[in-house]
Amino acid sequence: MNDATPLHWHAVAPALIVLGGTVAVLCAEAFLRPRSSILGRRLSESWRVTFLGTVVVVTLTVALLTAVDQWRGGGYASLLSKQPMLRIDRLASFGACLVLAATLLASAFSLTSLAERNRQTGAHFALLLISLVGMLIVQSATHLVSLFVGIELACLPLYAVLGLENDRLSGVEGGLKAFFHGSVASAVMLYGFVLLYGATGTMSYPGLRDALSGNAGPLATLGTGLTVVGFAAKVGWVPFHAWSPDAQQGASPGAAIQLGVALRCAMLIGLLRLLTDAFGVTEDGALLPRVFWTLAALSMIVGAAMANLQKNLVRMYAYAGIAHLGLMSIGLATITRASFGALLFYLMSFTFATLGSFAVIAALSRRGRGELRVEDLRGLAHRQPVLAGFMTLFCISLAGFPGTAGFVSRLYVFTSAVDAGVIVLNLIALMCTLILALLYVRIVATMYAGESGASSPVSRVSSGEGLALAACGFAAVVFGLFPNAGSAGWLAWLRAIDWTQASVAFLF
Amino acid sequence: MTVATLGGLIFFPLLAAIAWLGVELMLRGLWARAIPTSLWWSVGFAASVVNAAIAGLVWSSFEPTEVRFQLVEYARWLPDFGANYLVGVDGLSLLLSVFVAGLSPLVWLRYRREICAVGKSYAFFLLAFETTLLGTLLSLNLLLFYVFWELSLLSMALLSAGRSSASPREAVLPFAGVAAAGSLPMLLAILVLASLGPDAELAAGRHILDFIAPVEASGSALRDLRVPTWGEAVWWKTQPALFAAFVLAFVSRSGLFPLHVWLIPTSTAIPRSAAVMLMAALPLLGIYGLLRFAIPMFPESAFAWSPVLVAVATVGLLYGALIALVERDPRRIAVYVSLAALHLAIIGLFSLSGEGFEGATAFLLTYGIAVAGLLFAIDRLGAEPGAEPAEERPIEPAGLSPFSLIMLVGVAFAMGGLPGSGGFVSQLLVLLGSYSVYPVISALATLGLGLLIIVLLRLVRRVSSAESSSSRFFRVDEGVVLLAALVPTLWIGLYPEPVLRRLHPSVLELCAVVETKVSSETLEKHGWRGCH
Repeated sequence: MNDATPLHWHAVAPALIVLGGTVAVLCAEAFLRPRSSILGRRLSESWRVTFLGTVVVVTLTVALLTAVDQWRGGGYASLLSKQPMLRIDRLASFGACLVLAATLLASAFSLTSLAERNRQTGAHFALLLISLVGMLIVQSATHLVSLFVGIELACLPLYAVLGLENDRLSGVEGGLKAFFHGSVASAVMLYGFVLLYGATGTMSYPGLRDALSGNAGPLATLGTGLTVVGFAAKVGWVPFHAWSPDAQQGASPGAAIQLGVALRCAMLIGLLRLLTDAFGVTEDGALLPRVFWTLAALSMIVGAAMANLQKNLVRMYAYAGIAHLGLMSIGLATITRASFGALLFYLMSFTFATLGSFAVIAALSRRGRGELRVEDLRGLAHRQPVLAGFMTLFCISLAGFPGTAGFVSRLYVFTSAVDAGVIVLNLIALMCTLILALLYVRIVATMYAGESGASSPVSRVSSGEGLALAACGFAAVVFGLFPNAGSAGWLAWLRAIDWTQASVAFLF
Repeated sequence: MTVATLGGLIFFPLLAAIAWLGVELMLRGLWARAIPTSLWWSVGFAASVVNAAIAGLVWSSFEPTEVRFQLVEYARWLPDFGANYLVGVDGLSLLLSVFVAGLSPLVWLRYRREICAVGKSYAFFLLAFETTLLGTLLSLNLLLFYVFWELSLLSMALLSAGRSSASPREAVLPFAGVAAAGSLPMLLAILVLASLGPDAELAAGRHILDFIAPVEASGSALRDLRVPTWGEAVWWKTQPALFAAFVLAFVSRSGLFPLHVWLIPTSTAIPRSAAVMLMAALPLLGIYGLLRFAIPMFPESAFAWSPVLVAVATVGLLYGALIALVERDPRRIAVYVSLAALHLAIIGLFSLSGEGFEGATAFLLTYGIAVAGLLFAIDRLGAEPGAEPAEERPIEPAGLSPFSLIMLVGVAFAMGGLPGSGGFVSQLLVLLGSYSVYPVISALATLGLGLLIIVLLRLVRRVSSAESSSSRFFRVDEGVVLLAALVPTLWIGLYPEPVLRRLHPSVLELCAVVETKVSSETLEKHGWRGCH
């Protein structure tokens, strides 16, 4: 099936750059041992971490710029048309931009806390970067084999990163749970792939699409079902969500972002492609939209309800993340171009707001103060007004209040669902939004309430955290006020809604 | 007009707050020095005074006899969802926004100590809150309206949080919960409205949510859209469903019976300056929304549901008055009196008659002034915000200075609608309007008003018979606030012409919309007599 099309290295440039960065980090880790010296001077730990961090940040920035450039160029869809393994179109580039930006900012803000807690910084970053390569592959896979390879490559290093937090019970617990859950999910998914192959005799998306377009037999249906279940477990839809709050609670803030945001981005975008390109799901396609309807509704209800019961802040964010996942999967229940665009936009706003919140959490939970409870935020506005201001912004964005990206993303999702005539799911989404809004209002109100008895020490915001806060704050406000700056002007380049529309255009 | 007067009126407080925040951050960053909270107060007060001046400018450039919206500003914003920046003012929104802009400096002046004590973020949110109120009143795009509407909820919630003693669960969540539960269905209803009809301008086949046509040529206006009635479309695209969502939002925000559950917990637990805004300014938004959007867009449903809504409002009026009768704490009495009186606006509005509309609009203004005055007058009485309710402690009516006492008498008159006060004119109109349609309701409402007068006079008697412990006869802030609250009340009471003249075109416009959209049989059955 390969007629010797030359491999376009520049098409997979972001992944290659990240891979190069991984090697660089590993080498640096190997050669810059603690207590090693350069030119007769002893290297301090902070210097070493700064060096590693610089390598990571530079790698990711270059990869991000490459991905942005690929998106602007419209991707390499035509170049790779004879390569059945990967397809670098605008959807893949959009996803690449998102996960690269998320990892970049997450690395920036987790640098200080990693250095302070004297973690295995090099291993941490190397694993994150390898997992990132996997995510990039997932987003552009057009073959079940490359999809599976990408998923494994994305997930396994993340479990190892969770395992690095082995001085805390919750870290070990989260790592183990994620690993077992993930392995079972992979097995189920793989079995689904096998059944699909058995039923159709092909593993490439176009082939599957042709084979499934007719009257697919029970074997193919079963294979599709198992594949969806595997995806659901990896993404964390209810009822396959149980591992995700535990894993995020155990992870360091940076790893929690990889697990709760970047991995989800990659899996969802991979799923979009699988659904439309391989399964050929359409708006009136009978079964799958209804499956996603159910998953979305369950995730919204359970996620929002459970989030309200949590005392631990990260755990609360993890459950709320499940509810947000449900909200964005309304797009999967109504398979239209607008609803897929809405999903991408929601993903974007969710990514930045969650990232920013975790940057705040990282800044607050440094100095080994243990896990952060909601109650620990009491009086934060009086102690650290700037940090509290940013946290307020991210919370109201996640809550969906107007003026922030969260509002526009809800508007987008609701509008696309109304246009598709899905009203009951929309009503469930309203309820979920309400519960989430109250949750976030409670967090914010706690910050602005009076001083708590025990005064916690003020933690200085490091420059990496500051960078993440500023970038995420900018995104939350600008995508909220000008998601599609209508008129020309200095904001005319800002057309986030058009970006999402253009990214999913290839699927339809 | 090239100068964005309304934009200035709406955004000036927020921009002032943000600019001052920037100054603060710069000082902190460069010289490691923080601005004292009292300076925040000065800036906030100055900003609200300037904004009141801008409101005065709007008032003076407003042409009273003009029927159409004036000072319209338009810019494209989110065409994908039908949202534009479209603001404009007519008589109704003019009066209410002048009221809000005028109330704000008084609150800053009266509660100087409290604002300084609660903190800088509180001052920031107080300014932001003013922006959201004015934005809600002046928006003519439905989604823009929703944006400000929801932000007013958020900033109110943040204001309420700024209190050391009360936990957010007690103070903020009841209000935020009820208000957000009410307004989210409205968002969905707005989006459904947008999906109702194809629009020539839009490829997506969606409506631009402009209430009026911003540019003469563009032609599509939500006001002229006829929403399908029951049976003409899927249930969630018909008038009853959408009307219910809108009414739910507006009623829950105003804290009307039976959605008033947050009123006492929130208004007694939050800072007093926030409570004045919560009780005097925020409920106006709900009634305003009914007048501006719900009735003109869903008039058939309004006619269908009018008996139910009016009956519930009457129950609410009597309920509030009866509870106020047995309450002991002056603060809680004030809250219940305000709650009861507000139902009069609903009775006037949903009587669906010319006098009722006119009365309800005028009532909104006099109500706001009276409630603000009442809260200003009694804020020394009763329990501290967030403290135990009055059953635990004896009430100390003492401490009311002669000035506050005079003010209390004045606002009691205004609230009770006694002749010579502004309340008299508006309440008379409401009762007249409802009498022509629902005589029994009108009688019951009059009974409720009588109860309110009894409550207020008892309060005055109790307070005035107590020894005044205030040694100082005159305090500047009290004097100014007193004048500001009493003069408009008396002015409207004795010479209502300037107010009614500005309101009249809005009322005529509302009547015209109703008459074009509702079938003549329905109108006749209801006893519609037109507007004059």
